[in-house]
Amino acid sequence: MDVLKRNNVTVYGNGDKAILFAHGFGCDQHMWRFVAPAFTDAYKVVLFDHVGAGNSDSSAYNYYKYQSLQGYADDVLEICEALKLTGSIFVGHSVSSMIGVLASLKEPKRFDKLVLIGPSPCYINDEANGYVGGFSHTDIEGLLDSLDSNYLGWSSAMAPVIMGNGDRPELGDELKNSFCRTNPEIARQFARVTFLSDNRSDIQKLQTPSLLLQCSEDVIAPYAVGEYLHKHIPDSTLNVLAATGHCPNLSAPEETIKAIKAYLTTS
Amino acid sequence: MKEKNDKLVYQHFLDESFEDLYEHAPCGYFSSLPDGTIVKLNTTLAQWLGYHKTEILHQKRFQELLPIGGKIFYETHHAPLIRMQGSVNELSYDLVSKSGALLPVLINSSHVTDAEGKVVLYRSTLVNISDRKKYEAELLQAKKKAEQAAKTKAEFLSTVSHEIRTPMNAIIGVANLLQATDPSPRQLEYLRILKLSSENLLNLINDILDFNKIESGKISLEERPFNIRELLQHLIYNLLPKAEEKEITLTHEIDARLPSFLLGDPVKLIQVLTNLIGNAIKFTHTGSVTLRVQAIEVTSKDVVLEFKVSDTGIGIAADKIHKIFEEFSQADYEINLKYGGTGLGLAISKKLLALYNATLQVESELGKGSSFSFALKLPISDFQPESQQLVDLPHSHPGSLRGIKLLLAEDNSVNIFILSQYLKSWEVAFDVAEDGSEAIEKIRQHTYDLVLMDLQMPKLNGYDATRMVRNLPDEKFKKLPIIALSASSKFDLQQRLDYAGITDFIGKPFNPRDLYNKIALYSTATPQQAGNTSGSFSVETSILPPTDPSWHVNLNEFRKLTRHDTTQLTELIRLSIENFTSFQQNFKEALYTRDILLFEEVAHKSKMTLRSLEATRLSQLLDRATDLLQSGEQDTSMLAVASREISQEIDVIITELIAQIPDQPGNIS
Repeated sequence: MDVLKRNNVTVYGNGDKAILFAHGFGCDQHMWRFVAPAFTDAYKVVLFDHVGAGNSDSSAYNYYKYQSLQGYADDVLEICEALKLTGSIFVGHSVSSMIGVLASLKEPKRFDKLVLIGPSPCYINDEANGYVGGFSHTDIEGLLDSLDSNYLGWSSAMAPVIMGNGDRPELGDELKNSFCRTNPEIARQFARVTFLSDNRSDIQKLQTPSLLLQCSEDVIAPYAVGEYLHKHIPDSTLNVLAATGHCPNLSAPEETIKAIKAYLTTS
Repeated sequence: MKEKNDKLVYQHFLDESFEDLYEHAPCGYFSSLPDGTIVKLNTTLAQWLGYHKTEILHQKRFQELLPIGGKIFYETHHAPLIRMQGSVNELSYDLVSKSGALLPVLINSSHVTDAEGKVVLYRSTLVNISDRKKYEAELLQAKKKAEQAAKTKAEFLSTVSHEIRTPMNAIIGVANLLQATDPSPRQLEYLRILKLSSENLLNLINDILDFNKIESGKISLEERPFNIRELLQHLIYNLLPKAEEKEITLTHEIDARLPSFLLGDPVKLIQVLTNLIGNAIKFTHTGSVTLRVQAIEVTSKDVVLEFKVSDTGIGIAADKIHKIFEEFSQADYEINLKYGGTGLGLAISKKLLALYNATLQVESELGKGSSFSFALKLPISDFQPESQQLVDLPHSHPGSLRGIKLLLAEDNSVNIFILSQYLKSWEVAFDVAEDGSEAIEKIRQHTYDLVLMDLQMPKLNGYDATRMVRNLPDEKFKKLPIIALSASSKFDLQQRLDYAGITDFIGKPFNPRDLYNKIALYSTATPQQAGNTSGSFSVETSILPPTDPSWHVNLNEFRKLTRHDTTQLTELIRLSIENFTSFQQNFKEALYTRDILLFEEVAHKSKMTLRSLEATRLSQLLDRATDLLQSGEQDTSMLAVASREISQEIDVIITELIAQIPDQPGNIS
């Protein structure tokens, strides 16, 4: 198995130290397009697609391996091994934040620092323990319905029409590379694994220093979750961005870049 | 001047109509800030949602109009996508209206940027797809219903077929049993029809089950090594009697380049070829049916084979050809009336071949004949299977008949092949004569213990050849056992057999055990090891299947005796098994030591049980053995055969008794 091919790994940039960007649920490595270029002078930039997303090899998808986030974390470590990376920087968006935490717990030498954008250790509310993740189980079922109507009901039939982006063919390509191309079954499973994951006990064991980038208003990872993480992750720094939504790397790339660089240079 | 005035008037309305078009368009419009805040929307959308415009403008973000699942989708898919590519097309959402009702829409959005390329606004168009959703839901419902109905039907068909199969097997079994009860010639003919009809019905049921299995995707191809030549030989051999019955020739031409061992599914291949050749025989009245197998392409790894079955039969009219592949359909109704059948055979064959991505081709001319062909690509097997489970070759057959020499008079090469296999495995020495005159010649020149004589041979047939042998001057030719081989039933031939002086008869396709027993019975030479091996006969026989799948015992009397009490019935069966085990030993000893008193004593003891159980065959065997002992027969081989047959029959009876021990109280069916 060629790991680099499996995860469609892209490497560029001039630095010795590597910075690895991991995309979140619903996207692929293209979501780093506004952020990653800012690091090419000082770092070796590593981008990849999770199996089932973007241009990864969907045939490598294995239901049992990817039934928990650990399977994705193992992929990250396999990429590190293939590229002989140690002491690198891990930047994870959304669900990939926890994937980075799990990878660091298993092989701490791989990453010196973690940058976690819009992280959440658990999306489901846990009333018994007074934890507010923001969602209930029913909400997740609603997401699965939404996925079904957009992946199965819509994109499979309509994708060819959208790709006929006559005047701007590059857009068609990009769309082709984004979620339309994700296998619907894998998307469903990834959604379940993501939103039903609970890594609250893992984060407390984390030894690697981390930066938590919290957006001002984020439905997926509300402020309370950022606070919870900051309280429970040893050696963590919480930075609340002015940006709203769940994707500051896309909606406010400058602010995101500035926050990451500030953390990497000062700490 | 007037024109100018007119223009001013409608220009005014034109400007107004832009606004009007926007507000009352049949689709919803809104504009939003990058964070989703809605800053403009048209009346249509406001009405769809049941809000007053002021309740939305600068008050609500687009994502706030979504149920929670849609919100997650928006944040994880929609927002990143539109940031990356500037637009999204036809995303499907349910919007939550003021009343809480859901409004299904498709959304197209694109960004509006300032001079520096910074995103200022998003403009979105919404299409109301409530109707489409309704249709979709109904279509889905209808589809599910149809699928469920088809599934239920298939399951019903399968259950019913299974249910019919069990009593059908019983009917055939009982017909077999009746045949062994010394029926009158007329009863025998009725029995023949009863059996034939039941077997046809059973075939039909099996076809339906097969077809159902394929339809529901429950059939898959096996891949195992098999000997293609042997398979084809056996196939022809098994179908020969059918052709001989109709007096048409069945020939085969097999490409010499054909590798022996291939990888594939021999059972399905046989099923297809049996069907095609069976059909060809069925629809041919004079002439021939030919199976041609050609290797079209041979590489070191695989081979492409073309199988072609041609006949000189009734043919199919050009406009009917397409119909023959349809399930439950034949070329026309007349065909069904005249020839019967379900019309499933070809449909099944076609579907089986489709599993190999092969198609069944047909060429036909009405009145001249038809030819069906298909090509299969099969890998060549590296290793040879140790035993061919598929074909019933005599590997599992016990006992040696070494020392016996016989003549096989048979013209058909396949029959010669099959018979040779058995004879070799029993270590019987034999010569082959391919027609009647050659047979007579060989019989004169050599000394044989026995002759196996095919009745249908070119030049000189089996009857005439036998008569001529009997008329040869030497006395020994009158005593020479000549056993006829024929596909016709013995009953039909009896007179002619007697007239020709034929000793006994074996039907085709023959039961290997019958052949073995007959050879042992009639050979005057004592097989070298017969005496020594007689002690181990019961061990050998236990691996032999019963000759006949029908029942050898009937428990009805036992059930009556025990008044259907399962505990008592179980006890009675258990006692009977014990008795049979000791009878078996006693009979063997008595025959081995030729102790007629012991034999008669045990036979007498067993008589009541045998009558209760209607163990007709065993009774007959005991009577025959008694006769043999009383006649002072000195030939050990004959006594050995008798002992073996008795022992074998008792084994079968014990097996049947064990199988019928009631397992649950109350269940004594």
